[in-house]
Amino acid sequence: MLLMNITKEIGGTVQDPKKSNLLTRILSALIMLPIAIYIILNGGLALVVLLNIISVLILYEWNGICEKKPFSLLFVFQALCASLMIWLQYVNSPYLIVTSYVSLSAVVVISLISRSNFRWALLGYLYAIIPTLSFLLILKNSGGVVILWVMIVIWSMDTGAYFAGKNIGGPKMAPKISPNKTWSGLIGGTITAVIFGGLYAYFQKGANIVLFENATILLLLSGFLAVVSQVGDLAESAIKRKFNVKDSGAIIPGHGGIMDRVDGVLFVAPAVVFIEYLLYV
Amino acid sequence: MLLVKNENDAQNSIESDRNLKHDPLKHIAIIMDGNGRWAKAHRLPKFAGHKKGADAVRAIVETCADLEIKYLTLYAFSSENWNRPIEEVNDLMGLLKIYLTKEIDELHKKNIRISFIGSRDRLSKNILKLIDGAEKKTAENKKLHLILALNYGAQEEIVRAAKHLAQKVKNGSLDVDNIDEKTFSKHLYTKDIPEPDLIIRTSGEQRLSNFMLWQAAYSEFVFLDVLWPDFTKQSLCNAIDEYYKRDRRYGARP
Repeated sequence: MLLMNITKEIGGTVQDPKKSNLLTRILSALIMLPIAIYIILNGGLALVVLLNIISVLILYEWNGICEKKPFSLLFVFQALCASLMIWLQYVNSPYLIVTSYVSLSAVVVISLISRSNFRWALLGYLYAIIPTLSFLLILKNSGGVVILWVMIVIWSMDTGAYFAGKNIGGPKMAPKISPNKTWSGLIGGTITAVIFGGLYAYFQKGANIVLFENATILLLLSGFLAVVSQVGDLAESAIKRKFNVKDSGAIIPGHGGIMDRVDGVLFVAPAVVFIEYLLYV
Repeated sequence: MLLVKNENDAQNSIESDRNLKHDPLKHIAIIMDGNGRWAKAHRLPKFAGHKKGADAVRAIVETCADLEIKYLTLYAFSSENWNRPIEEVNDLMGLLKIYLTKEIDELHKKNIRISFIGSRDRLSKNILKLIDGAEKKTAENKKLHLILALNYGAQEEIVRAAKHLAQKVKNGSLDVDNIDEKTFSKHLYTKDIPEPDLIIRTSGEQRLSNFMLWQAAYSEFVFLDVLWPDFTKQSLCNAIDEYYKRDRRYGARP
């Protein structure tokens, strides 16, 4: 919750600038940032518990958006399956693959029984587990150092996009999906992400991270992932738009919901896993 | 320890030493230690250390084949390693599975025979199947015999041998007075394998950790400060050099 919160804590006002007081956001970010960084770098049980909580909250909000009732048999079942998957992944269980097939089909069956749309039920389940499982894989292969890099890229993107969009403005990226996103924001955010992603990796030279070995690749990756994080952002906005919802929830007073905070990670986390495997082999 | 400048020198010195005084170095056993510490030193998760360790195994097997060593035993997983956290055990088993699926063809092509010592009871069916397949497939290979000690503990091995012998005495197929070192050896996991001439342990630890207690009776020990993932062909050559400098007397007078 904490770590994702900060994603938009700093730059999240993109979607609802009137609601928030920028100063309070920056201050609370400064308090929570060290805690988030500690949990990520420590990379132990606390991070797994955090990821599990986030995935359950995502499902809760998802069902609130798509089913109009967050708490239901379907939600309980999705949450149990997601938690099971997360812990199986954490202990590197050989039963993970079988369980993923079984849980996917089970979610379909339960959604049909409870007369929900099985496509949305399935999509929500994937939304909850793909980023979390990806993070666990990154944790196993490269550790918290890389997860923090991913978060820094996303945070920088959001922050840079916010300030560039506000100060430069210009043509909108996708006015129908997300009226506040501008092309200047995308470019400004990407540049910010490249700078901070690169700086962070430079200061983590002591860690032998394959992703950080080549400066050119590292900077290109930071920029690429920053753009990918915006795709996740847009995808989440599109879903909310389709169901006519403004915030995904209200779990954090004045900040909207968890889904609004983690949308950037949605495609970035699996992308990093994919890139890591490409580079390892 | 003599530091060899390059691999050619190392090989040459091995060749010349071999002709001088020693019976040829037939069997090297290695206690591969230090994956976790390597990962920590490089600020990486443990899994990265084990992965790097598996890469080192690949290289060393090749080197041994090149150096005409006939037997190489690697202490991969001890019967006490089950006490590690479950995620690490699963990781190690996962790596073993990958190794057994991906590398066997390569080993077979290089005329390397692979077999396993250790108890089979706690291993999963999947792994057992891969082990049997690998042993059968490479059974006729002659270049190098690679022995992986998996779920191996020397005390368990000795107890197991004692049980087998007791069973035989009980049902009358063996006389108590006929039990000697040779018969006993025939009931160990290593019954077809000569005793190790050289036992190497990496990472600076200096103990046997329940490895080949019986077979190590006259083995030479070399302890290297290098962590297993950093173990290279050069490290192996250094250890072999050290071995040839030792005077092996098997308890006899010089």
